[in-house]
Amino acid sequence: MARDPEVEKMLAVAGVANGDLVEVTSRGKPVGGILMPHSDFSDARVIVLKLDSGYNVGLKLEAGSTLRLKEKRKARTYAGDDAAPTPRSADGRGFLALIGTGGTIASYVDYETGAVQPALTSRELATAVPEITEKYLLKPVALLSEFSENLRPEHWVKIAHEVKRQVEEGASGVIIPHGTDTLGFTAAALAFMIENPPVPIVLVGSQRSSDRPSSDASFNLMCAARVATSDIAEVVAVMHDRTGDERCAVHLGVRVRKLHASARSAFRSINTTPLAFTDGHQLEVPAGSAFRKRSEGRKVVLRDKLAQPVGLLYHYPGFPPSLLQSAIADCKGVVIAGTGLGHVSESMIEVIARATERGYPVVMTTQCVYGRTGLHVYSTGRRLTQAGVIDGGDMLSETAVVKLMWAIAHAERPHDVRAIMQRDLVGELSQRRTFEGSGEDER
Amino acid sequence: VEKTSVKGAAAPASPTAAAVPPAGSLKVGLEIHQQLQTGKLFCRCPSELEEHVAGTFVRRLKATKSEMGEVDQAALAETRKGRAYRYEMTPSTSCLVDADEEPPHTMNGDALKVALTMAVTGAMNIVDEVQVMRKIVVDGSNTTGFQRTALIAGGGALPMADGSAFPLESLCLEEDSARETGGQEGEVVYRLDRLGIPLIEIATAPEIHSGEQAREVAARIGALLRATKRVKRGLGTIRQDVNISVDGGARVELKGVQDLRAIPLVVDEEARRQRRLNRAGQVLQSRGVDGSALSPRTIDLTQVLAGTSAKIVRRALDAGGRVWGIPLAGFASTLGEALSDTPGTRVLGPEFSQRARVLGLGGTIHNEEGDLAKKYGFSAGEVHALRERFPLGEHDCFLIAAGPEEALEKAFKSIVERARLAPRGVVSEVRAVNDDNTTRYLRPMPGAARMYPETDVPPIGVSAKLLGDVRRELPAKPEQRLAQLVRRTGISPALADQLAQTDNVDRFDEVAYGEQDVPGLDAQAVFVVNAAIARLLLTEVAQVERERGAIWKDLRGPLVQIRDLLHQGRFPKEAVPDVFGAMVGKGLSAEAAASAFEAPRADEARALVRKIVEANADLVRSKGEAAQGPLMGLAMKELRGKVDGKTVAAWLAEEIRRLR
Repeated sequence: MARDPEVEKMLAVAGVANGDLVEVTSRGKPVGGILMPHSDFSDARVIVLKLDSGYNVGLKLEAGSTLRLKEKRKARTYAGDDAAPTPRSADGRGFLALIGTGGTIASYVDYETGAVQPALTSRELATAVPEITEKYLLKPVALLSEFSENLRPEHWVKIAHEVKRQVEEGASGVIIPHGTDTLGFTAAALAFMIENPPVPIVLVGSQRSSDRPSSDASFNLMCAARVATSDIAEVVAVMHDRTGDERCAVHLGVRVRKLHASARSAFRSINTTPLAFTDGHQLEVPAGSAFRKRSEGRKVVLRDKLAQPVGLLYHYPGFPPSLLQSAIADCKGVVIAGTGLGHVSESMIEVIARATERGYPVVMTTQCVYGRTGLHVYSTGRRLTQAGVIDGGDMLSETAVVKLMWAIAHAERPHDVRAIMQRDLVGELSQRRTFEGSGEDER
Repeated sequence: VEKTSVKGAAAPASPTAAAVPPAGSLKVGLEIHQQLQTGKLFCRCPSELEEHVAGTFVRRLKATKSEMGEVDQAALAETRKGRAYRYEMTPSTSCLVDADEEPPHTMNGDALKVALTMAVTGAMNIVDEVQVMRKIVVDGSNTTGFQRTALIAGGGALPMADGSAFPLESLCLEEDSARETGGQEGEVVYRLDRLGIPLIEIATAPEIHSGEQAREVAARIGALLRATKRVKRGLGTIRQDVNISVDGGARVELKGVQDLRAIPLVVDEEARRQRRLNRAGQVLQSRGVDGSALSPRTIDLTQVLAGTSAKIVRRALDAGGRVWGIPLAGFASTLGEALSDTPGTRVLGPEFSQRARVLGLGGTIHNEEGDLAKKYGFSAGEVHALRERFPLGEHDCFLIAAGPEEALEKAFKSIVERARLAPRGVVSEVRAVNDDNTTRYLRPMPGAARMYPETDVPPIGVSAKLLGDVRRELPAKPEQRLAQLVRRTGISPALADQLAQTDNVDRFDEVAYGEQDVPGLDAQAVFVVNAAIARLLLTEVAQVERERGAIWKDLRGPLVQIRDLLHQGRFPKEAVPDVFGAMVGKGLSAEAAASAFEAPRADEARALVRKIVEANADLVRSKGEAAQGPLMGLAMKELRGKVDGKTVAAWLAEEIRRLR
């Protein structure tokens, strides 16, 4: 709620702005303090003062209250020019590129309001992560400043281009601090767009903002930097493995999903196991872990077209077929996260059949998160297959959406989409799932 | 929770604040922290402790930038040290919020109501909208690295039982910290059960002028808190911090005084210590000792004492440590007892050794501890060598310590810091209270608290309706409650007072008869039963709980049974402690215990008295009525707990008269 106009008027008459020292008299007792910005959750007549003790208090301005300016104070500004401190190695190469995209990890707190501000400049970005700058040769680039829920596929393309530029300029690894909400989507998009990456491309986020002493940002970043200097030339996500600050897991970008709204260990490899683990110093690669090896000579090839929009529908009892119809009308392709083995209600099948008849791609995944579709087990599955649905196998529904955007854009002919979707390109699909990757311990 | 500045919502604008108070003045302020029984403040866990640990996890806390973009150096040092905190998860009393894995929920409305109740009771100025803050705490006792705290009210005055008022400064509602349950090298273990339990923190104005007054004010705050019936009871649920300064000197904060009765003693001890330091300061000043000129340079004495058999030093050397020393020019007579008012208590010496202990050394040795050879076992040659290394002028001293080099470095840095401030007298610092009511150095006074808004919790409006509810439901004042209790149960006001002081009012209220509870019966008889139960609470029950912990739940039943059997006249009131002992100690049933102490038939007891008098006929004849004293002793030996003393005395008097 914004401030009440009368309160605004009182402030204006007194010549008071946020940050000024004022004295307020309401109900007899004068209270002195610094006027704080108005919070959306505060009552419209309430002003918030920061007292000498550091405590904030909310005081209601009512008829008879008086407000007086005691001292005009300059609004505090935060150092932040864009002269990025570019580290110089002997040959100008071998640095780690740090491409800021926004999110909790690349933000700092405004201690007066408590609001979390995104790091807008490269310098701010670098100062938001002081620990890794001490240990690694780092080149910060403030590319975007978005909470990840606001990111769009165009942003993925922009990030992919920046990665290419940095690698071509000599980056020996790329770290991409990212908001956690859609980190998995970006990771998948980069994996499909950047062909044969020569160096590690590491997405990293944090679940607790870096203004908190308990923030996971610092540890996650140290681990991300360790992975960025490793041999794992894949698009990966590096996040806390368990709740403790003991190790991070390295997840393949097309296989990672956020499974908890707030916990540090929210990210999990689905239908597979993490590629590696690290405590920021040691890198532990489990036996049998397979990944593309670093080869700095490899050229970065971008295949950066994405078809938009693509729909993702989550099936449930009573799902109206009309919703699918309008999705088909509005989107270039649709992924359905079906129940169980990949099922939808009978009434949907005909809608699907009509769409696929004209080459329209409808992909089926399982909403169970763990496991794969099985379209030959029940008659519904068999009928869906007959209706022309594309089997998404054990692909994450989110990865399937990103892949479908990419597949439609890169298919030479419409019916090639099916083949692309059903072929494993970068590890997003597998024929074999082991107990270890089945999430037995996660449920 | 450390407070560093005045928190009153009203701007303190006293122009006389700078005036120097007269010598001999004592200023004491209290901070009372009381846990609430309402469930936790920002999650829906109960306000309980738990012994079961489901698992642990390890975290580290990171130094964060301050408001001015600076990193706190102390916190950074901690980060670099890589100190780890291990947290014990408790299944029933902690959740993901406590583990810092889930955002805080909205503030517990019940807890806020208790806080408002106290604010209204103290006629404080209540904020219109509560703003929750984060106060940075990096010792690991909060998983977040900060404590959530909110100022609820400022100003006001505490209504004392005698009708006077004592000025208050602030009332905050905040989270309790996790409790430390262990630790080892580089790791501290905390349990999450206590983390997040609401604490009401009430700070008084520093206008208490004696230890006894401090006790009274603390007791009054405790009593008013308990009157809300929403506070936790028992050891550790209320903690008192005491701020003390003497003669206008620096303020010292004493952490966690647990026992109210100790407050006057602690205050007196601390005031004496501060005055000793001021005297030493004056002596140093009179000698022109300039603290800032004191050299931090230490002398390595490892070679000099390499062969020593002085135990403390020997042990350190054998463990690979070293011996360091430092000359203290101009400090003569200030380290030892010379300026002390208390025999056996040294002045500056303990200040140095306590700092050394905090930093991992066993202590320090200085030349004003008497005969060092005798006290520590140095050889005459070693003492001589030390004196040679520290050529003492008329006013000079030296101090040495042994231990690992790293600890020595830190300890001597701290000792030099302290020595430099010695001419000023008292140093502002945080101290812990020892069992003997003296205090010891804990840490320097923290800088201004770093606070910023807790944006995960929306501000809470204190509506007129909420305040109206609070005012309507205001609990009876403790003295009103006691008066009611006296009326209802017939116990004496003095006994009621004792119950109040031992926090037994609620329990007594639970188990005592009211007149109306036993209709048609003699009120006087009911009152007698109640008095016996009250005494049982004050002595035997208290004793049992001291030994076995808080087990009121197990004791309540036996008490009710004893009350009823006593009222039925199954045993005399003198037997109450024995019956209780038989039930609670030996596990007898109420029936069995009662039978064991059943009153003898009156005629039998009467006959016994007659027999005693007759057996001592000579005594009665020679002493007359004065024989009753010794005979009473003999009679009660047989009849104690069975027949009430007054009756025995009456019988004795009668028998003596008869014989004469």
